Amino acid sequence: MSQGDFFRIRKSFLIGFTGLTLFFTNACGYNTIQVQDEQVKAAWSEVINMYQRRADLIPNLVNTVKGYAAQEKEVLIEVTRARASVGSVQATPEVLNNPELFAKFNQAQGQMTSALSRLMVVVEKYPDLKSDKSFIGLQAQLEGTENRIAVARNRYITSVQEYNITVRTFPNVITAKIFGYDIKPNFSVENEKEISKPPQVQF
Amino acid sequence: MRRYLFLPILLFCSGIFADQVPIPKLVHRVTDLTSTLNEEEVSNLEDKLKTFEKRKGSQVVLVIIPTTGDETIEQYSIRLAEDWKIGRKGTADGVIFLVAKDDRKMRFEIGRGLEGAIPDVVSKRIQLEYVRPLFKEGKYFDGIDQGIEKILGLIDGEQLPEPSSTSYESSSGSAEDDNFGLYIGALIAIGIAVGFLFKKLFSLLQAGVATYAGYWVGGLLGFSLEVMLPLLVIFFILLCIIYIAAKNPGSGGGSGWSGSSWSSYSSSDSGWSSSSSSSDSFSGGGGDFSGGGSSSDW
Repeated sequence: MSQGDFFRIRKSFLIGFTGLTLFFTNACGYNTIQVQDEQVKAAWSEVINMYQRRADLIPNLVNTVKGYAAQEKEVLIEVTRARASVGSVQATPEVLNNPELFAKFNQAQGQMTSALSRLMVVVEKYPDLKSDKSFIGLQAQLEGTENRIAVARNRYITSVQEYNITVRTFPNVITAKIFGYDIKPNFSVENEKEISKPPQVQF
Repeated sequence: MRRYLFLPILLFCSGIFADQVPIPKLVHRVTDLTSTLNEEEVSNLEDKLKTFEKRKGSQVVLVIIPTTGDETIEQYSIRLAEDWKIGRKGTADGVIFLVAKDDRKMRFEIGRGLEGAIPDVVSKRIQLEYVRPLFKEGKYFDGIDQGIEKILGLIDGEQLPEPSSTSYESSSGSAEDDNFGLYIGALIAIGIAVGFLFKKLFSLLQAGVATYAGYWVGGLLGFSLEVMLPLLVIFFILLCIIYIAAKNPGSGGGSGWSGSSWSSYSSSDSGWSSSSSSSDSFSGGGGDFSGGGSSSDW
């Protein structure tokens, strides 16, 4: 029967087609890489957002502190300078594929963090400043932002881990090589301990 | 596949943080591991939070633990938030009031969707002006009650989606059950679609293709292989039987099933699984947190 033949051919065709689809959608991990690449980008955007939020707080904070403690020039200048250097490092997603830029970005943010902690230590000497309503508000915002940064960074670390495992394991590694997906840089752990601690402020 | 790879990492991580204080199990809206509140106070708060959720849809929970261990209260709190997923999915309107009694620290963990209604500054002010003075005097219940009142008041002022009739309170069990229903429904719908598409094909292959399509879509929806595998096997067999029955009218009784009976079958199926048991257990609705809120000591 010619019709039977026709069906048989079509059947084998379909088996082949299914097999190929199976292989390509599951086995080579192309889609997984795509999904996780996007997740990493999203997590990074969140990190950037939070850093930006912190940078936006700084001028107000500096001005408030100035009002009470203008003689603490050094610390104030340091904070202002750190903020300027943070602004000078472009934090586009391209940073993620460039370990050097990434390290530079992190260094700038790390300096910002330590400058802020020093500022907060200085504040301890000024009771009037500490009880100033707007300062208390800024402090709460800063604490909240520091915590958000820590959370965003942790989520970024997790997503990069996942992505890196994907692109380094077989058989995805072949796909990743073909399409040029490299492993992405992650925050270093020593740095992490220091940075993820929000500045401790005791009232 | 990815999940399997990730597992060792998870185990590895949990090995590192072996000294973390474990997250309590979420059973009620008020979780007091320190016996600070008496039964009446607990049920009082529980009722207050329950009626609020019924009216407004937002989930607010209270957790009192002795200590957060080596972690800061912020770290513990975000772990708890990620584990419990308080608040509605998408709206992300959950609030966790965490009190670490022996550490003398408290924290409001504010869901992503409420960060506008309750900015960090405001939650800090609630802690400093209302809760803290009462805590200092050892009036824990009053302090907590005050804090919760203020938080609920703020959420009330916010435009949020209406609480749905099938809130986690009234409906069955967990979100997972709902997903199951949805999932089986989706599988069957896909099966039908594929079945119509390859009407003339060999049945076993049809079932296979349909199952695979189901697996693929399930993957898109974010179901793990572990969850899907038994379902898929059942689905595959089911499809085979149905296709064979449809192919040999007589043996399967009822010749040639029409599309309508198909669809009614699928809808009843998904209906059955999503309205399974009805228990009064409380669970998070899938809200997410990004570290908003504030902490204070007393």
